[in-house]
Amino acid sequence: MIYTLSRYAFMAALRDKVILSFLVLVGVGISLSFFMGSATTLESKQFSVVYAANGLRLSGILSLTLFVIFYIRNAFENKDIEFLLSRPISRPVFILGHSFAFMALAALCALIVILSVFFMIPQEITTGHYVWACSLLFEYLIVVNVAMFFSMVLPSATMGALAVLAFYVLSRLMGQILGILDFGITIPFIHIMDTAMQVISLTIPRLDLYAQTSWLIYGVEGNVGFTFFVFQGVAYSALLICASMIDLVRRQF
Amino acid sequence: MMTFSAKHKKRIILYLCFTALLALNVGAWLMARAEKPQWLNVPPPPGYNQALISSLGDAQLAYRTTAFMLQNLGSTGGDVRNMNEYNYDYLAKWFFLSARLDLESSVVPHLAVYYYTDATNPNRLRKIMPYIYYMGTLGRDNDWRWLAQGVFVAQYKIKDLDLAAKFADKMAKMAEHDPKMPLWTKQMPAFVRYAQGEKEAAYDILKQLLISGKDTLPADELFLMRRYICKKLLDEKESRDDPLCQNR
Repeated sequence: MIYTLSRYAFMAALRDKVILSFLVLVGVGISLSFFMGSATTLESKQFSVVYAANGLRLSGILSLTLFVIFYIRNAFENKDIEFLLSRPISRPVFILGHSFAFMALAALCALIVILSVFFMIPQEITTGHYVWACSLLFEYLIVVNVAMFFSMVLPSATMGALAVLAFYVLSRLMGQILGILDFGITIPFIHIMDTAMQVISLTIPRLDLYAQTSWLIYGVEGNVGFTFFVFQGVAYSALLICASMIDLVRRQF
Repeated sequence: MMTFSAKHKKRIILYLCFTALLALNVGAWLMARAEKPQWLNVPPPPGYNQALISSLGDAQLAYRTTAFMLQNLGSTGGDVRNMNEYNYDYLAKWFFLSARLDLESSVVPHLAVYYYTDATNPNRLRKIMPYIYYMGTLGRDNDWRWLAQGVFVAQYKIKDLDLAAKFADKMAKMAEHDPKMPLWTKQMPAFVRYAQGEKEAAYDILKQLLISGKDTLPADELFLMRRYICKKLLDEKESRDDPLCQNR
């Protein structure tokens, strides 16, 4: 049943031309990156790779977020969810099926981005590229599950999309925020903010550590690697799927 | 006489409204046509954390964006500015910020050393010399090249021979520990001392180099060094009396 539901949602993505639109975005992104790179006096390849990797990363996040949010909200508004749940499908299975479909879509988008970036300088692929690719994949998996969760919890597509983007920006900045707090700023009531941010950071993944473009040029630096990305990616996605299940189970139709 | 139905009248009014609105927009275009982006000089640099925040935590993106901005500063919408108008205090801060974001890349050092030293105002150039010195003394392969360019800028553009000597001395000191550095990096302090009028100091440096390299340096280099001492550094009488110049 999970497979059938996943296939149903995945086919909806294909019908919605998400992949096709994303491919167009990738083409435009890479062309712009080459253009920007060629406008620099030195290290034009490195400029192109950094711009492409960042631009495509964000394009993927936007495409996946908008699709997931609007798909789920449409399903609520068109009573598709009520119809599906009137069949012999349990609510947790409904969530699992959709989550797997969205994750498959995320993996496909990640693959497109990864291959595009790899083919920009195919002769200079290092371990850093593989770590970058792995972290990008898990970032996309986390984001589609975040988008599914917010689209379940919030009543409108716009609110959901904004919430996911705010969440994404916060998770990309979490390292900086914690760094500033650890630095020890002496402002009145900072300890209250400090404690509040520490608690918030517990529930936010450290996406600032993912897909660093410096890895594509200088290789991997720092302590994070495959293990961290796989561990956090799986743990956080599972948490979000579970939270979405709880929301749907408690929901009154 | 032509008559219009009510439906046609409404359509004609709609077309007229559209034409009038189009004319209004053309008016707005005409009002803004001559306006160009303003040159606001070098923007004040952000702190390290703000730079990272602006790139959502990706230091490399922040570096590349900074480098791109530094490369294109002063060329805004067809308005190209003289480098002497730039705020070099802020430029120096941007350079140091970029060094914190990425110390490996040579884009920003190149811009600082080969592009921004084109300004003719020595006071402005002086502001970026600490950055050039910093990048030149990191001690990695080929970092000394920034010092070499620093010597040139200090001596011929800023016309500050003490500053040139500081760069040259540092480069020569680095060359003592790095056999890959060319010989002239060791000779540079002598050339600067000579320009300072300190002929004796220049002579001593070159003589020491000549003695220490007697068995290791190629014969043609030894010949050229000796020739420099005898023909340029010393006058004819001094050259005649100097044992270095006698047994050539």
